Amino acid sequence: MQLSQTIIEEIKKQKIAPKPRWEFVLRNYFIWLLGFLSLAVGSLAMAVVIYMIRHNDWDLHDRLTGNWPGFIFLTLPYFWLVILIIFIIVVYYNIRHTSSGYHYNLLNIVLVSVILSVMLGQIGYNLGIAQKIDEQLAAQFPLYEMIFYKNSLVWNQPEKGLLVGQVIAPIISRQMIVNDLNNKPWLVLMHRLPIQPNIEVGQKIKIIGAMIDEDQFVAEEIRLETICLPHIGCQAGERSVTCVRSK
Amino acid sequence: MIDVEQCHNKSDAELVELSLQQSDYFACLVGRYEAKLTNYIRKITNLDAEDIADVLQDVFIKVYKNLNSFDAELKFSSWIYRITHNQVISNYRKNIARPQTVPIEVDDTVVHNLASDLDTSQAVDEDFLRQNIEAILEKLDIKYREVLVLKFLEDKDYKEISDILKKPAGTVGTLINRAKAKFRKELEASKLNLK
Repeated sequence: MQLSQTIIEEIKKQKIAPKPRWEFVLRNYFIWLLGFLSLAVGSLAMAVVIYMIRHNDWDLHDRLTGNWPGFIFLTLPYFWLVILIIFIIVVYYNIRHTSSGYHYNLLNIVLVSVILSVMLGQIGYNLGIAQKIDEQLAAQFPLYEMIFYKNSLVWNQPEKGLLVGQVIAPIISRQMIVNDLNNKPWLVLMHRLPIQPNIEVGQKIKIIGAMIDEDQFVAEEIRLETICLPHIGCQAGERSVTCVRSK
Repeated sequence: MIDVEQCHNKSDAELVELSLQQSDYFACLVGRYEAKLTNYIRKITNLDAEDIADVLQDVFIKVYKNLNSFDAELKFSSWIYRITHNQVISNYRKNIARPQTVPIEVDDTVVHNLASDLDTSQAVDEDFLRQNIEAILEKLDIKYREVLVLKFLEDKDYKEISDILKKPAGTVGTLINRAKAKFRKELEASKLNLK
């Protein structure tokens, strides 16, 4: 028997019918949709990366680590970079599985995804979305808080003129008491600052200045940013830099 | 049942449309590609005639089921070769390969094209190549064997190979160059073994 005859008989015997066209069209749209969603999530991750890079303490690289490569290595937002890489891989996987996706090679897809993520990420950053994401995650997820708490540890170097902690007593006569990351109380003197900063009890702050005694620190600049402390967590809504510094 | 003679003046795309309306027309597409795909499967696998027929039957049933996914911007031949490629790879992974019993038939033009394209420092002895092409191809990994078969034995261009293997054209080019290098190496080794 000829193969063509066998095939037709088999089709009729098993009542095989072609799958409907809409099934293929829907599948293709679904893959594209997943690709676009992955790109959107990747762009949000990129927005937070841009936000963190722009709000990094670049001016303090010398005090924090002593050199640029060490500073960059220590402060890169790895968590968000990993999220970005994961979603770029998902974008690549989805595009390769569309009906015409095989025309594009890995490098082109990754390059276009990265460029689009940077562009959309910049828009997300400009709209303030990145800051909201960072603050909400910091406020609600202990794991996220812990990742960035490690960054705060870099600031806990009083001997290098860096102090981070929580204000535990109201400011009196330009002096306040701050508990550092090890819960050690410090008397912070603010007479070198041009104005008395508006700081409330319980607020977490970064102080740049000089250690003058075992438990005394002279502030030359105070930054009110999100700082994650053990048992207390991160305060949302404070990452934007508020800075008081001496002339 | 449709007489295959009736389909001679119809294009592949027209036959796809007709098959979707009446399954009997599918016999025309089967008739048109049966021999080509049999040869193709034989060249890239070590299956015997019986297994090739089984693979081919699976291929045609799959093609029929997926007729609505055929994109008219693609050549139908590329599409059906792609489905065959996928079926062969799927069978290959299931490890159902058996010793080959049917030799590959290679005409002079293919041997000449392959010899000139191999670009060896020494002129390739075409007779030697003709006698050993099958053994050399069999020593290659299936991904290299398949791309050489498509390029030189099936005479497909880069665009068609790209559509069949679902790889970017640039990747196909790289794959062909690597496959040629592997083939050349095996060819040289075969010559040394004879000395």
